[in-house]
Amino acid sequence: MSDRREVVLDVLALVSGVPRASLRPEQDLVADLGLDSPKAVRLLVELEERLGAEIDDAEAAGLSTVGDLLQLADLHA
Amino acid sequence: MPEPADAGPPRGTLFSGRPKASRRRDTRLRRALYALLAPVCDVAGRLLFATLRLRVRGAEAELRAHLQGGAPCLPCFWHAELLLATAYLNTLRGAGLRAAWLISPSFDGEVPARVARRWGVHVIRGSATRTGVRALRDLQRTVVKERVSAVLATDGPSGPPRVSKAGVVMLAQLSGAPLLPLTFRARPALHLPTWDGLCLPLPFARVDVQVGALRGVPRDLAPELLEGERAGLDAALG
Repeated sequence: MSDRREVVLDVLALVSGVPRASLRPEQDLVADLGLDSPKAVRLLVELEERLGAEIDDAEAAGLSTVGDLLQLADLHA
Repeated sequence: MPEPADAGPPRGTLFSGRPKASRRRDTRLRRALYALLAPVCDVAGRLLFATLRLRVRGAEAELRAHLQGGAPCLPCFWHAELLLATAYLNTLRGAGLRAAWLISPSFDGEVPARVARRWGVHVIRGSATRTGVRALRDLQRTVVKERVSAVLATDGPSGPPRVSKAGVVMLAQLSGAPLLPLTFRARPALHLPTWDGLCLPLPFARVDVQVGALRGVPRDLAPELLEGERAGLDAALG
């Protein structure tokens, strides 16, 4: 797995409180991981800082699952 | 017909919140009315605020020093004290306060947004509950990039009264701007029959303003400790 994908999983575990080893690409960010509005904002801010990339609103609007986040990391590689 | 199987919590994207539909219809007549109402509310507000006798206590000197350094903060108060907070925060513009207000994106928010712009306030159209992620993100970016102070009625937009939303503390953590607790008491005043009991000060009312100490939220604070920060803010707001 790429370093950028590792970063995504680290941040997701930190923000959601779900153990990293339990994260699966098909999991829904809201329904399965419990990301409410404040947590979602923290996720986006932390990802932008750690990936060194700006995630625009159109990209963020398409984020639904853990897999979407991993693909986003690849796009900003 | 059999009951459908439980599909679990609703699924969607992080931005799937939508503005609540306004109960009022967007008609040409209503637009004209609102265009007329905005300057009327502007003038009425200025006249009312000019008569209020503000008595400020607490950590205002610390606040002014903070603002003069060009740093933003997050003024916090209960939604019921919205008008009193507006009156006080207007007095801080000369001290360097550059305020940003989050105002409902619905048609109902049109008049407040127009009035706020007339007062030189940076307006972000959004709702912490209806367009949550986008609104919070816009606020965070505005505070960080433009160094403006996001003004927060912390139990808004619709309560429960006197319980701050978790996003308030998160905004402080992610923006680096400290929370500024403000409490108010006005006499004489009317308390409107709204969910929050909105306080409407009468002309020439005395308004006691208590400025709390700035409350920074460390960036590395563990997520499970944020609830304690939120409860601490509620205690500071009384």
